[in-house]
Formats: sequence, structure tokens, C-alpha cells
Amino acid sequence: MKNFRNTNISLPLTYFLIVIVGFLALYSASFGKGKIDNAEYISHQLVWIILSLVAIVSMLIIGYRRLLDFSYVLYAFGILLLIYVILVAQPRLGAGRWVSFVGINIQPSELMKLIFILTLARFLSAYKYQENGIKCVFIVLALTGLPVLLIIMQPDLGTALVFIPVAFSMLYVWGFRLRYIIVMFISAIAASPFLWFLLKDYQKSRLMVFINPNADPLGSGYTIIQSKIAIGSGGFFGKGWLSGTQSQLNFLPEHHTDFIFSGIGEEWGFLGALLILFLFYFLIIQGLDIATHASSMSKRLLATGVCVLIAMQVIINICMCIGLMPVVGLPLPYISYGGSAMIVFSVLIGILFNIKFEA
Amino acid sequence: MKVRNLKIVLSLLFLIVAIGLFRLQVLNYQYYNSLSKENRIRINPIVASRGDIYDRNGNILAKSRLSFNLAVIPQEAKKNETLLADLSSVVGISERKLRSNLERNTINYFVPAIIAEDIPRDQALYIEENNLDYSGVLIQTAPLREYLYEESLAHILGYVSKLNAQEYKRLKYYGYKSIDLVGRAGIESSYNSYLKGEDGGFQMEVDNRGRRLRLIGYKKPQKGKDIFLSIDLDLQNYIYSLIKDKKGAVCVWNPSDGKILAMVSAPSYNPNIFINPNSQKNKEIRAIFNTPPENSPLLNRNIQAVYPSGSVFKIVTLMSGLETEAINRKSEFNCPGYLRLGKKEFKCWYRNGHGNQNVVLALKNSCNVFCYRVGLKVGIDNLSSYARKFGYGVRTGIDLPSEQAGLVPDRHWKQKLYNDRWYDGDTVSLAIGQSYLQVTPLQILKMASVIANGGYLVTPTLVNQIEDVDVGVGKIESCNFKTDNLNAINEGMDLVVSETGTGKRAQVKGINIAGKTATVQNSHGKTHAGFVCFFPVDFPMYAIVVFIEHGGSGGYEAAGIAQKIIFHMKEESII
Repeated sequence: MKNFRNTNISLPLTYFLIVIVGFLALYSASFGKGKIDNAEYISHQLVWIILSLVAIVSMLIIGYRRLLDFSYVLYAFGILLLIYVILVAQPRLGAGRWVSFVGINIQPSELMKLIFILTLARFLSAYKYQENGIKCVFIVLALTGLPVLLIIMQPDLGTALVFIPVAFSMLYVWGFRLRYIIVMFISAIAASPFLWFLLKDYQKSRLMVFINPNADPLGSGYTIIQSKIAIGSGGFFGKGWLSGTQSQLNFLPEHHTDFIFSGIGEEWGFLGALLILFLFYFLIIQGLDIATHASSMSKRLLATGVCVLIAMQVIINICMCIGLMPVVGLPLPYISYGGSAMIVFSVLIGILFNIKFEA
Repeated sequence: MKVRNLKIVLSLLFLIVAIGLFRLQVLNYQYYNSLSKENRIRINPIVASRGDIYDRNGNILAKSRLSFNLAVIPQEAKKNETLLADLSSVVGISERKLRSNLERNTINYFVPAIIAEDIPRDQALYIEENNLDYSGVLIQTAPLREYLYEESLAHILGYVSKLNAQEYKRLKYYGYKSIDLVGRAGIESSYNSYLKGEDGGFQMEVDNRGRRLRLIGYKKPQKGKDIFLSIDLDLQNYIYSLIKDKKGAVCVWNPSDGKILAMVSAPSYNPNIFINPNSQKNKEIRAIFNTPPENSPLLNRNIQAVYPSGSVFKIVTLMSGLETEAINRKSEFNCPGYLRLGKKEFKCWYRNGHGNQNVVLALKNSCNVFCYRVGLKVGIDNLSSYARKFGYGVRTGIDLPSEQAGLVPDRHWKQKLYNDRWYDGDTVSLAIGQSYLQVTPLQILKMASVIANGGYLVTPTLVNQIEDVDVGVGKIESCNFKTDNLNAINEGMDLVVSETGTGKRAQVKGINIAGKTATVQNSHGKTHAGFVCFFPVDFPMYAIVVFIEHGGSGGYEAAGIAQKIIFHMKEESII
């Protein structure tokens, strides 16, 4: 803790700003003019935020090293949870993504994001690319493929796909050559028509809708159009906090969770949206600075994984809200309603603090 | 260095997002703002029709017919105060009623809410033609369920109705709407997810007077999947005509795979009254729900009513004797017309006594005393364990909802429930299918099929095909019985339906039938009449169970009905 005084507080400050802004947005989505929603979103989210702060403080006390030590055990545990979700959790009309633990529903796929970064960081930092390169790459691919497949089976395509850029960024920072990554990327694209057959009907329809949003005007296409109307009508300055045209937003399914950014864009306009985008960008740049100055490979890999994960989720989520990407169902970190993601992403930030303050 | 490259890539991606936001919020602001301000996006859903249900020969049993619903956009109704009054004069429904429907069905100010359902076609066309006078008024078409054979198939097909408020609250996250229909019983319920279609609709841009400017999107509604049952419509209707004034159950299936050809329960009800209820229909619905449960026409007595099984249970008793080697095929007991056990006397139904009996004769004559003795020899533990082996005490696994499991009593159960030990007297009454035993008629059929198919428990199914996919047969498990023992029971059942057997009334010329009668004592009055059989004995293709509540003697009433069914099947050359 001694080091805390010696570091600037910009990283924690950025984090707190994002959390506060997110809470205001959620508040508006719940209590804005004519909103029919109940107050439990707010009280629940407050609990999650407090728990997140507890999680960050515990991270600082425990230290990321302890988590690294246990990462293989955690990985096995995470995989078992994912299998459990598929086999046992009742998939009601589509997706079974939660498990109940002492009365709290947790989403193993969120937890797996954290465990996955820890596992890869520990594994890769134990080897050198120059010595065991190819073998390690294949093991990393296996370590990535297993949770990705299990999460696709839930089915939750969006969460599954976010693992892939994280894995490749970590491989790249570790030493894997860019040209190989590009070759793999191209072959994956070539193979994608075959993956089409693995997708569930609703996932196919979402992809189709992305290509032509008017193909499903009442389902996903409708969501995209309404989201675009909400954000677009916000204009430069927005309609003002608590003053979004509720009619459009009540149309939007998941406007507390995956589509919360639509409300932000509508109420706070281009300025507000850009501010949030900038806050995230600033957070990630600081995180990557930590990676640059890290004294060991494990720290560098951890910081990289955390930053790429946050960046990808932010980019995918916002692109989804403004119709630049298919609706894949990824929450906006620290802002969307939901406990599992809030706590997991706060632990990730805790790891960044931890690495930074150790230096 | 590598981290720096990563920074560049991520920065570029963030830049793209920022440009996207700029384009949407700054460059295209005017367009989206106008869409948002005037709420110029209208959606008009089109309800998908449910899949049709057919019998095994392609006869249609349940279909959907087109109906017209009158809907208004709530915001327009607010703006135009005389709108509801105008509409009231067209459709002849009071303005107050229309207003209360509007309030109940409003999801959102801009989504059309239905205010009158199933209006006549000419009214619908009139409103559609005068569209401009009625801004914000729409005619929506919706499929309505229709059951073609009303009472006869009610228990198999079930019925559909709208979600109630509680269900809607629970299901709305899974894409259900408040006006969605769900299956409430029968196939409609158990295959709801297949039968339910996927709704479609229009999304359009309108001008400030509500006129359609531009179609933004159209999604074709997708009809639900058609289901083809294993039911034979003609046989089903014939059996219903036989028992419609009685109280009971009849089921016909193939004993080797459990595919059901007919399943009738009486009394029955007309499922059409649940579709778009009006005050007259509501009265009938209330009458049905107010019937005491034991008389309820909603009850499918094949699977939802339990009875003591009566003498058909002797098959289990004798089989357990043979399998545990407590007796063999040649073992004989003398029947003097009663069995004395302590101070109590347990009677045979034939007071003069059957004399010396072996397994085969005991079945043929349905001799109680022989079964008492076998029951005492094998003991209660074996008896209840064999009852379970024959499928009693667990659901048959038929693809219909709310099946009863029945009850196989044993020591543990009695101790727990009555805090009393199991007596020999209990064993002997169980040995002839009385005492605490509770079974469904379908379980009796499943048990008899074990004898018919050479020792296998089949799982009953009603569905042959969903759309063009063959569903196949249900789970089939071996009971691991010895063939010799099965043959002995088979031989006895064969003699039951002979000139001197207890089931002789079931005889049909030219068909060799094996069966077992049951005359079931109960506390409410006249005995229940039961009969189970399969045929032809050499290669059984059909098995029938008949169970008539308070029908009197199984050999008379139930076997008589079975005879008519088999005769009919022969006449119609089903056999």
C-alpha cells in the first residue's frame, strides 16, 4: 500500500467516472419520463457497485500473483461450471447461461473471461516463444477453443467470440509473429461458411439481420432500427438526462443491459457519447502503458489481456447499438445492468491497479 | 513495441466508433430526429398460424381458420375522441367495451392494440376500405384454432388459450406476447413449441396523418410445424361412440412399440369452447371447471385417473411366482372357494371353488385362491418389486402432460403413511390387485404388452411425424423375464378368451385373442369393469384396454366393448 501514494490517481479516477456515468445512465433508463420499470434495477446495481469496490480492495490485498498461482485450478473449475450450465441449467426457450450459487445467479461465461486471462498469462510467461513457440501456440489455441466452444453451446456467440482477440493479442505480445496471426485469421474466414452450420437459428437470423436490418423488422432488425433512431435523434447535445423519448426506448428490449448505450446517446447526444468513448479509451491507454512498463512477462500479458478484453467489449457493444455490427448480446462494461459482469470487470481493473502500484 | 502496435490498432477501432457516432448523431440527426419526434415508425404484427394436426392417414384433426381483429393505435384513439364511438357503430360493440379492451391490450402508444376480436368479414372490409376516415385503425388478421372432431379427440389434442397475466409476466422475456396462444392440455400443450409458429409483421413509416409512406420492413410469419399422430380417426370416433355415455377409458396401441391408435376417455368436452370465448361459451367453461374432479370431462381417464387394478394384476402375481421360482408351471394349489388366514377368510369369486389349479388354469378362471397362495409364497417385497418391473408406480412416459404415476404399496410405504406394519392379509389382497394398489388404465395396457411382445416395457407415443421428420418410437426396455414363464402367462391369457374362459364375450371369429378381465371392487358402489387383451396371439399387433367405472363385471361389460372394437377393426380391415 506504500506505493499507492507514489502513483498518480488517474487510473482509479477514470474507473470511478465510468462507474458514476454508467449509474446515471441506468438511473435514467429506470426512472426517466414515463418509464414503466421498477426500482429494483437501481438498488441491485448499487449493491453490485459496492461489491465491486470490495472486490477491487480485496484484489489489492490478495494480489494478482495469488490468482496466477491458482489459475489452472480456476480454469478447471470454470470449465466445469460451463459444462454444468449446458447440462443442468434449464435452457428455457433458448439460452441457459446462469448457475445459482447460494441464491445468487452467476454467469460462468463472465467469470471465465477473468480466469481465461489469468491462465493464459501464467502459461505463456512460463515459456519463451523462441524455444517452445509452436507447441505453446497450439496449447493456447486449445485453452481458448474449449471455453469458446462451451460458451457457443450455451448458446452465447458474442461472449464466445470476444475470447479470440484477447487470446491473439496476448500471443502477439508474448512474441508470436504477426504474419502467422494474419494467416490464421484468413484461414478462419475461409472456414467460416462451415461454422454457419453450427449456429443456432436465432444466431443465423441475427447475422442475416446485420446484413439486411429490414429482414426482421419486429425482431433484431427492429431493435437495431429503434436503437439507431434513439441515438441519432440525440443529436449533438442530446435530449437531456431523464428526458429521452421514452416511447422509443420502451420499444428497445434490453435497454438496461446490452442497449444501455442507446439511452446514453439519446439523452447526452454526441458530446456525451464521445465523452464515454473517451473515458474508456483513456482507461485502456493507461492499461497498455502499464503493459509497456511491466517488469515481467506475466504482468505484461495480464495487462494486455485485460485492456484488449475491455476494449473489444466496448467497441462491439457500441457498434452493435449504432448498427455497425450484428446484435450479439455483449454488455457494456461497468455500465450495463448486471452483477456478474460488473464484478468480473472490476476485478480486472483491480489487477491493473495491483500491477501498477507494485511497480 | 508490440504493445505500441496494439495501441495503434485499438485507437483506430475507437476512431471508427467515434466516426460512426458522428455520422449518426451529427450528419443524420435531422432524419432520425424526425422519425423519433413524430413516432413515424409503425409496426403491425401478423400472427403466425399454429401447425395443423393430422391423424395417421392424413385426416385433418385441428386446423386454423382466418379471423379479423379490429385494432387501433392507442395514441390515435387519444387524439381523435370520436374514434371509438365511430367504430362502435360499425362493429356493434358498446363504446365502453371497446375502451376497456383498448386499455387492457395497450402495450405501447404506438403499437396497435386489439379492441375487437373475430369481427365479421364484411365489417372488416368496410373498415379497410374507408381507411382514411379511420386514421390509426387497422384490421389485423389472426388465425383461430378449430377442432374438427370436438369431443372424440378432446383429451388427445387438448386446447389452446391466451396467456394469463401471470404467465405473460413470466414468459415475456422469452419473446411471448400477451395475445399469444399456448397449448393447455394434450398434444397442444406437450408439443406447443413445435406447433407455435413465428409471428411476422410490417414495419412502416407513416406521415403525420397516419398514412403509409414507405414499407421499412416485412417479415413473413412462419407457420408452426404440422404434427401427424399415430391415431386412427375412424377407430377413435367409433370407440367414442361406444362409450360416450359411460364413464371410462379405452386405449388401443401396438404392443411392440407403444404407438397409440386410439385413446378415448368419457365423459368428454368440446375444446372449441375455449377458442375466443363469448358469454355463452364462458358459461360452458365455468360449468366444466365446476364439475367435481372425479366427474370432470377434462380428465383423461387413460392416464389421469387411478384405480385398483383388480384381477389383471394376477398376471404380475403369477409372473413373480414363476420368476422367483416360488412356483413352476406344474405347481398346483387346491381352491376350495376361500383361503383362511388366521381368523379371516379370503374368498374366491367362485364360491364353490375351482378345485386343483395350475398357473394356466388359474389365469383362465381368474382363481383368487391360487393367487393368494402365490402372493404369500413370494411375499410382499417380491410382489411390489415385480409390480414395478411391469411399469406400475411410475408414469408410462406418454407424450401428454399431467400423467399420474399411480401407487405400488410396500412395507416402507405403509409404515410411513399408516405407521403400521404390513400384514399377510395385505399381501393376499394385493395379489388379486385390490388393497392399496392404484394404477392407470394405460399402465394396465403397458403391463399386458410385456406379455404380448415377449418381455419389453414400451413407452407410449401419440406422434408419428413432426412436419416431415419421423419421430420414431419411445424408449423400449427389456424386463429380463424368462421366455418359458412369459409363454405360460400367454397360454393362460389365451384361454381367458375362449368358450369356457372369463373373457369369452370378447371372442371374434377368426381372430385369436388373449386377454384378462378385471372386476374391481371399490368403495363407491358398483364394481369397475376392466378388460385388457392383445391379438393375434401368435404375432400380437394390437392391444386394447377397456376400463369402465362402475360398469359391473369386467367379463361382461368391458370384454363386450373390446369385442365390438375388435370386430369393427376387422370389418374396416385395420387388422
